[in-house]
Amino acid sequence: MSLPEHLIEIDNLHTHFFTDDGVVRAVEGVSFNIPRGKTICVVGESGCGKSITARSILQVVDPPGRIVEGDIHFYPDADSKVNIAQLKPNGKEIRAIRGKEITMIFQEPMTSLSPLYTIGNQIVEALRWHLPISKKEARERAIEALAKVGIPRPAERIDAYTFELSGGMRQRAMIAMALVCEPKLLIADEPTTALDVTTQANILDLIRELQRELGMSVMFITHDLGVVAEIADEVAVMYLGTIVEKGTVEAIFKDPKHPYTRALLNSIPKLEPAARTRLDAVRGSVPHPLNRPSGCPFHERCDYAVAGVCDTTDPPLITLEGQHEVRCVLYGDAQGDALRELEREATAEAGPQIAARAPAEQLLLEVDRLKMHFPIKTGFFNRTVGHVKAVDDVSFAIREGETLGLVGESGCGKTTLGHTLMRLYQPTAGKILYDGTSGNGQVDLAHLNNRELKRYRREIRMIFQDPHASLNPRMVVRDIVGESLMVNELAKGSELDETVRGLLQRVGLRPEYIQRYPHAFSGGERQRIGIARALAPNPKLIVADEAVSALDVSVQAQILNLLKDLQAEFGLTFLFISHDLSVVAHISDRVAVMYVGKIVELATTETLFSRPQHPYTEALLSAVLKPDPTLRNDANRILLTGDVADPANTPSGCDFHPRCRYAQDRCKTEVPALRETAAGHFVSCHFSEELELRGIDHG
Amino acid sequence: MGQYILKRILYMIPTLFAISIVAFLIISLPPGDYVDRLVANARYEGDVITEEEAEGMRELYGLNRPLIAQYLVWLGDIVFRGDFGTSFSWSLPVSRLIWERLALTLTISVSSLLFIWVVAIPIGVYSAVKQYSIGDYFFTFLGFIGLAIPNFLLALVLMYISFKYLGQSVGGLFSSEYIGEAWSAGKVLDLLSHLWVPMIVLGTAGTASLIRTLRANLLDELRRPYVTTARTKGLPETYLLIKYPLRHALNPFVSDLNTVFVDLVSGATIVAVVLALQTTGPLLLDALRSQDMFLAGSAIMMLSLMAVFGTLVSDILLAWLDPRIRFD
Amino acid sequence: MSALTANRSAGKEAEFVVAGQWQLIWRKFRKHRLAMFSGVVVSFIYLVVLIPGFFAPFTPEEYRANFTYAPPQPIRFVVRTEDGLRFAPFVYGYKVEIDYNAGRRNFVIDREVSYPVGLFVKGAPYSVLGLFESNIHLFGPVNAGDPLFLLGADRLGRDVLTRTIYGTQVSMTIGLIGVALSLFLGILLGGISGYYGGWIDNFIQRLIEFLRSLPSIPLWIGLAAAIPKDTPPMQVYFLITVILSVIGWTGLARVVRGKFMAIKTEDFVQAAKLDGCSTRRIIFRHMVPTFMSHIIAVVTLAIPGMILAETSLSFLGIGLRPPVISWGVLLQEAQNIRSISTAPWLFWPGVAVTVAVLALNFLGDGLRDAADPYA
Repeated sequence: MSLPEHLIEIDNLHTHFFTDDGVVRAVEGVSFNIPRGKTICVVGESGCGKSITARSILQVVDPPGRIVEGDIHFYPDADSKVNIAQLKPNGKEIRAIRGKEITMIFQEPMTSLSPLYTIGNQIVEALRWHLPISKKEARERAIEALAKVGIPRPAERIDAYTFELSGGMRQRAMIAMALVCEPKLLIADEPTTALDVTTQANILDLIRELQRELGMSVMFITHDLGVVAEIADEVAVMYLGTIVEKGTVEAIFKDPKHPYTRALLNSIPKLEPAARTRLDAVRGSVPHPLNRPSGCPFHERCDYAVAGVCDTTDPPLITLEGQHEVRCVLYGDAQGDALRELEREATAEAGPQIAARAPAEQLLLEVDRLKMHFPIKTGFFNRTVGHVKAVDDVSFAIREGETLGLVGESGCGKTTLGHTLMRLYQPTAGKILYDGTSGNGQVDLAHLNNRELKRYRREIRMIFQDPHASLNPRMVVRDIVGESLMVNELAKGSELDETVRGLLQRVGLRPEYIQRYPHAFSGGERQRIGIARALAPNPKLIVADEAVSALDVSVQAQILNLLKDLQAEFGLTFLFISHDLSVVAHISDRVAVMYVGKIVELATTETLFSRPQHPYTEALLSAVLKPDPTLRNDANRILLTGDVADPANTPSGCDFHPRCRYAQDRCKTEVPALRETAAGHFVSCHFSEELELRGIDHG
Repeated sequence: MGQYILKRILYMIPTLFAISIVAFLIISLPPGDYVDRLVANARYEGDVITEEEAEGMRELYGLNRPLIAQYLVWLGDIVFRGDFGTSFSWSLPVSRLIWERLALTLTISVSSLLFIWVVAIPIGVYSAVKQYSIGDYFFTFLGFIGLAIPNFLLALVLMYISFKYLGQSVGGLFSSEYIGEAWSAGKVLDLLSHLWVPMIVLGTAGTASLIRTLRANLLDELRRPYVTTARTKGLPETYLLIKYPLRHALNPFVSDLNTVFVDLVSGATIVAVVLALQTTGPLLLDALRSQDMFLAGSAIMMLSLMAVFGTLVSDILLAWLDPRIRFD
Repeated sequence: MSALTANRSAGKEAEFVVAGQWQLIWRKFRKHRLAMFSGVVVSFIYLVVLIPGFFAPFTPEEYRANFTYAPPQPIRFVVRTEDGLRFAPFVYGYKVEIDYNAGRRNFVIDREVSYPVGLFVKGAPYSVLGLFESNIHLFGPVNAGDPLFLLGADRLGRDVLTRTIYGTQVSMTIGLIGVALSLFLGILLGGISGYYGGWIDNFIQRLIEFLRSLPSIPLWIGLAAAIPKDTPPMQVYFLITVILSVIGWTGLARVVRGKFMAIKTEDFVQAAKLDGCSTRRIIFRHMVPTFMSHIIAVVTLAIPGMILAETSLSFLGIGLRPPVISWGVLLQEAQNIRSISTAPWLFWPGVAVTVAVLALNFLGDGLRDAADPYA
């Protein structure tokens, strides 16, 4: 007898949270199947209920949440069937499934594993609970599992604590723990979101390999369509607690049907620098589930919404050819045909192109051999025992009116560099030459005191990453945005109110918001307030530190568009710091790549992405996941081994040599200088002329 | 781990030194000295101590030397000869008076600590796991009351109740037949039968505050991702609760241990006075009243030392419990 | 997304978006019933502190030698007349029985005798806040000279209730002043520690650790014993607050420094710096409002400790001494088993301590929970 086609069939699942403020319907009528031996991706923005759906499958939804309706049929083998939704939470039956048949890994392995026990302890525990094996045997199998997930020296590492491992290694340990009992289904809840792009590539490869080897099913939850394209067989798109579209990965990416799916796909910045148009952003943001709109949950943001239909009735689930399903009236009966016509017209209008602008040759900011070292102090007497070289001998220049992108993985010093330029720190050495105030010539900001800096603080502004932490919750928008005007005595009273109203309007917020407190705004709106604050004193240079990283992809697209518009309108110069190569490619004229406190390559966006000259840049580019399932390029991917060097204890010679596949003896001893290998192309590699490095395939 | 302990012990040396200074300063603060007090008392009783006699006594006790010299002699004798000086009013070496009483103070403090743990942990766990249940409200309220009643008042109330309804006095640590006797099995048993009153009195406030701390910590920990992870492994709830959240919640609990212990040593002073226990408390109070400076100084110093050693023990315990500290 | 953002029902929307932190704190605090109730109790206690003379039926030193250790008189509110029940509060009188064995007098309630009790009666004059004199008491015997000992009398025949009410003044303010002093030291030293950093910070941190590792009561006893016996009562009062604060500031200093350090690195503080704000403006406009509510909560929670400490010291006879009246001083009367077994009503000041501390704890707890409405 053959096995049932589906491992799990979820039918009309409802999981609600009973809070003091009301019932949050986090999962509202979700139905889909998890195919046997395949990977299904559940994709959606934050707050759409994908994690809760996953947790419902194992009945590990935290209180006050619980499954209120629906079935989760689990078919472990040919002739048994369990409805998980009906099992007693934490009862014996569900516990026999958890950890053995179905296991789960999470986004943040640091908090998902206990720091008080060794990883071995936490793996062995899962094994011994489910299988009748001895301690010794269990330990051996745990070591085996660690070896299988690619942890070097597993026999030693089994006794390590989580805080002794790097982020990537921790996630591997987590995977080992989940797979040690050889489950039938692995639920992976954003397992790569907290990881750097090169580490993410490694972990995805590992999950895919193990899936093939063990023949298990994987339910993969992510907000990142690049990851979906890379790993999924089937895709389910979620919005506000319901599945709006599902189908094969090819169907979803080639022929997306639901307006939300399309909006998501259009919101992603493309890697091709040539395609630097405005992004086709959808308006608004995901509402809180408590304020769930009636009818189609997406209708308030949908360009094709039909008044009187979409805002009143729940759209039906419509099956198209090839098991492609979509929950939208556009694909309904005869009435739907007319709507489809409308839609075709709408898509014909392309988004407006941004007026080409050529950056001037005039240098606005010149950074010369800038160093920012932080002393490491220890012990009773606060002795300095070393230095973290967060920024180490960095030189570059920004031209007036251009956008310089700064990319690098976490801990590479890009944020510290931004903060040092803003003079939030006193640099250890080097110059920050600024030439913005007309007729003043270059001023070295690195050596000014706070009072002298005050006038330059008006011209160089910053946008922060976290829209929640960067706005003082105790001040109203007027005071937040207007603070720099007040402090610099540029405006006050009703004049100030007028200016702030104008700024709000300019960043796409209603001017009457000026008396509101930040808690009244969504993340995207808060980021707009942050941008208005930066714009207030008419700056010349804006340092945007991961300004869109905390936002959902649809909101991210809105903010990127806004930044571009503002640049065109006010002739702003941007230093755009981000870990996301697609975003940087989309917005930057030139790009600098940082690694362990140094710039390793700097070139125009076009050149850097198509013809990189530093092996690290090559590896970074190859790790970027493109939202196109036909471009799965596991064969060409360069997998970096080892961890990013510790900036307090850098290796001899080139910082990158322990991980570089082209490294030679010279790299171990001689520090490569950043040199101009072609006009405007700076690289710090001994062999950049000899190496044939791959850029992005525009295939 | 060994290195960590060694480091902690080395850190203690300046602390011990500072304690001796503080203790000495406090006993030198009152205007006049023991001899002045004697002279005043003598005058009160119609007797006269002449100026020469007073000076002679000061010479004898070393009270005419400069303060710093008195301090150095006092400290030097303690460190090098284990000699805490002589109690003026008892005319006995301080060390003979103080050791047994210190041991009893320690016994009371430690047994109260155990009492606190034994009572607070299960209740704290119950309150957190059954948050907002009737039992939780009951214990929370009880905890608040326990915190609000001053120790000595609780002692008085207990004394009153046992006097009124049980017809017996619960003061003291020994029955009258054992007071002044040498240690024997009977005396130990007698001590144990008297110990429970000071234990409850001293432990109530600590128990209340630890229940609250543990409940809050545990509520925090129960929502941590690693608990969900453990649950997805199929572990049964009780096992999981003890191994993960409880163990994590005990960390701040243990780091709080020193404060609790210090408070116990501290609170024992007053409770001992009320319950007429033969511990350091009443001794210290009398010594301070009669300006018996070496006795008072030694008592303050030894009580502080006990507290500092308690802190050391709790630090070591914490390091043993939490690998993150060990590896730091 | 925080629950706060979600909490936007349509009608409340307009009000909510412009609600400042104190409004949000108040909204959150209001939900905490017990804390609200405790707030009322605490306010009432401090009202009593302001005008004890009005709430007490007598003056604290008024004694009736023929009523020593008189037990509490039960109070009745209604009398039965031919017309039915009538509101007319009264208390029963006393009979004296001589216990020849013990050789002392015992008071027994005599139901044959009753003394009417009235509201807003005229009695002994007292001063209101030192501004003017009054002789109106909230309640008291209708006929001056009638005995009224609702909580019994002490060894000199003074009214325990009156003395407990007057004790409120010292006991409740010593906590307030002690905490104010601690807060001053805490903000000063915590601020210095947080502002200068480096070795000063290190030194102050070590000092705090050291002070916290010492048992406070023996030190308090030691310091309090150093106050000469002939010091005037007011000076003793202030010296005691100083002694309590010398050790009590460490906790507040740690909170202040911790908050300071945590907020210093917040993005919005960095943003203020980039707006060109001076250090002063950053601290007072951007940082202080952020932790003000936390400090208020911590201060409220610190007052009970001070009250308990004063009570304990005075109880031991080394804190405040008669003629000063504080709850601790009053409890000295209940120090030995003999007196409490014959006159357990001498415990009443202890009940007052417990209620005050309980109310302050609940209030502080509620404030602490509400202190960060954005969490």
